[in-house]
Amino acid sequence: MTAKESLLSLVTRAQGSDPIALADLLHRFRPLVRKCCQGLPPFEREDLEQELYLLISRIVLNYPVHDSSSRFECTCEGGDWADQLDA
Amino acid sequence: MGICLQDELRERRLIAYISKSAYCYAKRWRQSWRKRAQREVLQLNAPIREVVEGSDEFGSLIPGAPAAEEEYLVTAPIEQTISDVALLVAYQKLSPTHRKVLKDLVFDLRTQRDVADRLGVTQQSVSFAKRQALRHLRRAVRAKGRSDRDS
Repeated sequence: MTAKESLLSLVTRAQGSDPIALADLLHRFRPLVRKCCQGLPPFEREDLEQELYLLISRIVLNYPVHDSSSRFECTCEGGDWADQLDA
Repeated sequence: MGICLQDELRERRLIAYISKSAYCYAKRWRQSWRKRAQREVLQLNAPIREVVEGSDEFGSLIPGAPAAEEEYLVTAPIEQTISDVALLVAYQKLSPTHRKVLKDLVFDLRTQRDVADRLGVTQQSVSFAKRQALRHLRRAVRAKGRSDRDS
C-alpha cells in the first residue's frame, strides 16, 4: 500500500500544469463538493458541482504555496470567488 | 520534525480555506438559485410548442431575430478549439442565440453585462441563456457517453 501524496506537493504539481495532480486534488475534495450540493434538484446540483470544481481548481492554481505573506492574505480575505457569481 | 509539522499546518490551512470558500460559494449560489427559480416560473407564459433539438425549451428571454446564420459559418477558430466531437456536434445544434451568447461569454471572454448591452437585454437574461445552453451541451454529451458505453 503506497502512502498518500501530500496535498501541498499535489498543489505544486498541479501548478506546474500536471492534469493528473489536479484531477487527484479535485477527487480528494469530492466529498466536500457533494456535501455542498445536498438537497438541490439533480440538474441544479450538476451546475453547482461544476462551479465548485472550477472554484477549487482556481484556488489551487493560484494558491501561493511558498509565499507565506500572500498566503496569509489569501486565507484571510477569502479570495475573489464572490465577484464571480452570476446575478 | 519541525518541517513536517509546518507542512501539516499549511495543509490544514489550505483545506480550511478551500472548505470555507466552497461552503460560502454554495450558500450564495443557493440564494441566487432560489431567486432564479422564482423568476423561471414566468417562463410558463411562453407559447407551448414542441421541443425541437437545439431550440429554447422554455421560450427564450432574448427577443428579436436570432443572429444571421452566416455569422456562424465563420467560426473556424471555435470549432478548432473544441476537440471533443460530441461537444462540437452539440454546440452546432444549439440555437443561434445560445451559440452567440456562449461564443461571447466563453470564447471572447466578455462579461454578461457587456453581452447584455450588445443584445439589448438584461444581464439576467444572458445568464439564463448561458445556463440553458450549457445544459443542452451537457445533456448531449452525457447522452453520447451513455450510448458509447452501451454499444
